[in-house]
Amino acid sequence: MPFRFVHTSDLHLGKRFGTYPESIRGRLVEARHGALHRVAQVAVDHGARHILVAGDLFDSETPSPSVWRQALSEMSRHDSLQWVIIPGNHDSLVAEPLWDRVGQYDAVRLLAEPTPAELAPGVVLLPAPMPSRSPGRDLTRWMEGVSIPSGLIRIGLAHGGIAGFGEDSEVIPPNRAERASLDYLALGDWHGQMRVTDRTWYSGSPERDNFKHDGYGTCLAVTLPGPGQTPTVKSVRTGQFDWAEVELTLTPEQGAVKALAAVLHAGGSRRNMLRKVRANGWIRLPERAALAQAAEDLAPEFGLLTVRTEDLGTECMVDDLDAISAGGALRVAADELLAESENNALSDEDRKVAGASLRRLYTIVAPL
Amino acid sequence: MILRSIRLHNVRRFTDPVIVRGIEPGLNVLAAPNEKGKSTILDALHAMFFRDRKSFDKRIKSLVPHAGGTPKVIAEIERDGTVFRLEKSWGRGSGKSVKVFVGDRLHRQADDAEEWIRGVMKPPERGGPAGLLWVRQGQVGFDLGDKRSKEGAHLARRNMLTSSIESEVDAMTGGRKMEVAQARCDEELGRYVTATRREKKGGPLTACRLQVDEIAARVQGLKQKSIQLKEELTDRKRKRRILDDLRDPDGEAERRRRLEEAEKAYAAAHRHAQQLENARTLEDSKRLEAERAKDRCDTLLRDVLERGQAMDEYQRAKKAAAEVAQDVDRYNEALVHQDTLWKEAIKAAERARTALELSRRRDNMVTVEARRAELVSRLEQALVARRELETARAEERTEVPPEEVERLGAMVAHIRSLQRDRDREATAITMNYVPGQEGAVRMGTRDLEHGMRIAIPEGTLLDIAGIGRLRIHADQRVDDASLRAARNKLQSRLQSLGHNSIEDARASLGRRQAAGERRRDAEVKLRGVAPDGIDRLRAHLAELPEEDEMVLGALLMPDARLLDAKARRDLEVAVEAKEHARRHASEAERRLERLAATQDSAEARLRRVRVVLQGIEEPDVEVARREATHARLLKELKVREKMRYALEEAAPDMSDVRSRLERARSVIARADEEKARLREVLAKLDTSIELQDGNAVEEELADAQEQLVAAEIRLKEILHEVAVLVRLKKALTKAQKAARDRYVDPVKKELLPLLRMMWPGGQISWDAEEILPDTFERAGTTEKFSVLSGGTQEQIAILVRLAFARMLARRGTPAPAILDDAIVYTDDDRIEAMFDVLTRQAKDLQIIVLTCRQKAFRELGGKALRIEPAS
Repeated sequence: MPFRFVHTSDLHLGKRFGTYPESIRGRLVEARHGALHRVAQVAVDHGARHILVAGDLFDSETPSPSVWRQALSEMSRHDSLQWVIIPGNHDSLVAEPLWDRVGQYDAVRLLAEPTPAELAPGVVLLPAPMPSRSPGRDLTRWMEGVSIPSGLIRIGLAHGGIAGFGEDSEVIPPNRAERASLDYLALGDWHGQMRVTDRTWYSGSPERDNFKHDGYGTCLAVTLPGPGQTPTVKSVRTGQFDWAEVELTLTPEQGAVKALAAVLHAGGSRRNMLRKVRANGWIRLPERAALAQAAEDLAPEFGLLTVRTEDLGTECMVDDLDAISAGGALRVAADELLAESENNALSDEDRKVAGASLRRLYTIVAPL
Repeated sequence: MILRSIRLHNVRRFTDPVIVRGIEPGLNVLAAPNEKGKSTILDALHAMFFRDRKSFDKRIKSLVPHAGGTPKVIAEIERDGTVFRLEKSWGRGSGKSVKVFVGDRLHRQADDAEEWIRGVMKPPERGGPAGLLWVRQGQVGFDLGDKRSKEGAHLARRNMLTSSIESEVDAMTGGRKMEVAQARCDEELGRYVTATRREKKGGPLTACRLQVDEIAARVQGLKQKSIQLKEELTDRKRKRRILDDLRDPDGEAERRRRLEEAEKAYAAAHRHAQQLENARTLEDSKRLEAERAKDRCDTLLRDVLERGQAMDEYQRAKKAAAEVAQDVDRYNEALVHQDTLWKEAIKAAERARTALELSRRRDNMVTVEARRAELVSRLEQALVARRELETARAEERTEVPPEEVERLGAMVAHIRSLQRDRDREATAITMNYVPGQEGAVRMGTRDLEHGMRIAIPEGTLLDIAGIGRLRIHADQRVDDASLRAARNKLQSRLQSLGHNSIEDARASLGRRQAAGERRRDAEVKLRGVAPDGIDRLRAHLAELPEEDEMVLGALLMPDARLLDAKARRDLEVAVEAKEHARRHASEAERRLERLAATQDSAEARLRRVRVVLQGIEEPDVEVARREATHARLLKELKVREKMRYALEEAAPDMSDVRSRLERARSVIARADEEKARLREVLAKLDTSIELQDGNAVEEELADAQEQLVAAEIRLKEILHEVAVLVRLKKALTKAQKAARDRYVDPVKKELLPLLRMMWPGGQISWDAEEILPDTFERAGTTEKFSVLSGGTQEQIAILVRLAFARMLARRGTPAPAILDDAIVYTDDDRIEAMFDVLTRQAKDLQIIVLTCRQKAFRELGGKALRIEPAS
């Protein structure tokens, strides 16, 4: 009979998103808590009774009472589900008081020792809980030498990075599942979803927390047909917010506003979209001013919209400078700033300041 | 650039083409009533040069006639001797067009033509003013749109005059755009920094920096709390593990078992230790007994041995003493002999010393006698020399001194001179002999010489040989009183000196000189033998000792030194021999004393041993008995030692056993204490950790760290914004100053002569900030421009314009000056002066005056222009 479970990790409950604007911070925190319910729903939908959390359920070893109590309350809502948890580097076993409390909840099964544990009849779980933030060794190594009766499904549960096939001290070898005859190795620590081998997966965070990983958060609905058989792994969206960092390459002939609109065009609610647009290439002064205005106009529609223009060059044509002034002192000042912004003998910072000064001059006087 | 003609079609009221032609380089006047289209011409020109054909803003729209149509302007301009025709029309779709012709040849079109026109409007150097200058009443030029109070106040101050001048100033300095840009820079910078670029209190920059500092401080505090929390968590984990180990039942049973074992081991060890102590006591007792037996045996053996040794020593000392006594006698005899020899040697030495002393005294006496003989000889020579000296001095005193001889010689010469004078005057005879008769005539005792004149003042008596005596009487008497007086004086002097003649006197002088020579010789000699004087010489002689006959008698002992040396050597030998003999004698006596002491010592030892051995009949038998006793006791000691050694070997380490017991007890006690302590510590840690959880320290820290990153980014952005604004402000200020330096000052220079034509002695001061006239001084009074009459303001405005045009012309970029109803408020008196100014400037400038005051401007002269239908 196949064994079904849900693989998730890195919920980082308690993370406060301090670098983000106040307007979105609360929503991001709330969405993170809501991911618990959505993951549970995936398990229900998947027909699974177990949710394997591969570390970093909490963002710290001492989450505030409201965070851990509300989380455990949410996890206890489904009587049919059991959350199987190992501590990660953010909430390692050093956090004994935390795990003492968590262990008192029936819905949760904490695996604090690297010893085989029966997950269900015929299914053995090999956990690799993190004793501290940086244990300095590969915690999955013991899985290779452990003696387990044949005919059982073997599932590994660990938290940490992978590297090549060498035996680095702290990293997990990507072929650990094959070497330890695991049917599936559920990994955490990488916030994006990743398939390492057929049997080794990172589930990714169920709710993304930065622009490093695009799209919505996910978890994995896993089905193990039987010992030694290839698992079936299905990615299921659990994230509320759609994160994306997009590149906007511009040319002087291109309409910057339209181009911005094009890269921002996507289905779904913009309210739940977080976009970081990195503009590069070259545009003319008027287009640049228009781009800045367009970004300012569009921002309120999105959960978060930032347009970074550090890598965007400004091409000044005579007409652009004429728009500032056809002659006279204003034109002299504009010419000087333009020359300075293009002078490679100056520091990058000085060139940027000169370019920004020119753009500011254009913005002020061109409409007059 | 010179404007030649302008043609309008479909421009406002001119739906039909009109043209103004024949515009000349100098002064041109287009006088027409209002509403005839003068301003339209001006607006059309402005559009031609400053509005792109694609523009269709409100300015262009205002050119479109009510009936619609495509506004078109054609202008002819002359530039560098070439006439260009510019055609531009504005409209939607195909209506817009721009072309530039040279004659009928198309020179530029479309964007090229626009670029060419822009080039015409600008001087060669970028940033110069436009190539057309005009005055339009009331036109401000730009609509700022910003209604800020400051700007509003500024605008309010710009009256007709300034707005008129401003169009030129604007062209140079950026005008109102520049002001707006500067004002925006100042305004935005003012939010962040003060005028001196310090961060503004309460501003966003200061607030952001304070926020960064506050968050950083919070992060620091939270970090410390977080570190403490982690340490507590780690500590708790470690302590809890220890407590679990301590509570382990197997561990506790093991600790109790170890304590029982240790207690048993300690009791057994204690018993063994008592047995060993007893064995050691018995062994020590036996050892003491054996040692005493050995001592008794050894003492007896030593006494017997000493008795024999003392006897031998006594005998040897006695014998040696007898031998040494003989040596003592022998050495004493030798000493007596050497003493005798020594005394004889002393006497011989004394004799030799006496002889040597006599010899030394004799040598001294010989030296004294030689000295005495020398002194006596020198004394005798000195006495002789002194006598010679005194004799010579006496002679010198008696003879005639040389000065007296010289004085006498002079007197003789004087007498001779007097005599010669007398003879020349006296009767004279001259005898001339016939040959062979020489000497035949004698006068007195001498022959008359042949031919010689001889004076005979008193006559003479001649003896003529063979003839007789001839007496000659002198008839004429000669006065010879002076001669006689001189002779008497000479004679008297000679007598006083004791001489009869001068020759005697001279002989006396010769003797005096010889005496002098002798005196000097005697002085030299006297100084040689008695340099310190004869008395001193005598004193030296008296100081010498008297002769000693006894000493002189010792002269017969020439070898005294040799005898003395030998006697000394003999004495030294005798002393040494005597010392040698004395040492031998002393040594022998000391040996004899030592032997006597040895003999006494041996005798004493012998007496002591005899006392000790008294009562022991056979010492050797007694020694054997005592040795047997000692051997028995040694055997018994060996047995005791073996027993003690066996106990020692089997003895457990008492300190080790005791330590183990103490440790076992301590382990249990400490485990109990540790359990209690750990329970207490864990309770405290749990409380602390729970408190920190409640405060969400780690969440707060993570949040604060992220907030700090965001705040630092914000601060960086603000600093960048400030840098941008500062840079822009700097560029604007610099450009404005450069424009001012380049244009405004030259304009002021050009303005002054024009001003003086209107108001002799007039002077304008400029607002450095606004680059506009500030005050006007004339006839000794100074007024602000704002209070000047409208006429004066417009007159100054025109002068400024003309000065500007002149400045451009001087720079090789002449620009037409167009005055559109610029002279409205000027009265008739002042307008005459203004016409003079215009006429003067028109000599090298193109001036186009548009006016509705036809009558007044009739007096201006210049080329009259008309708006006429274009054919």
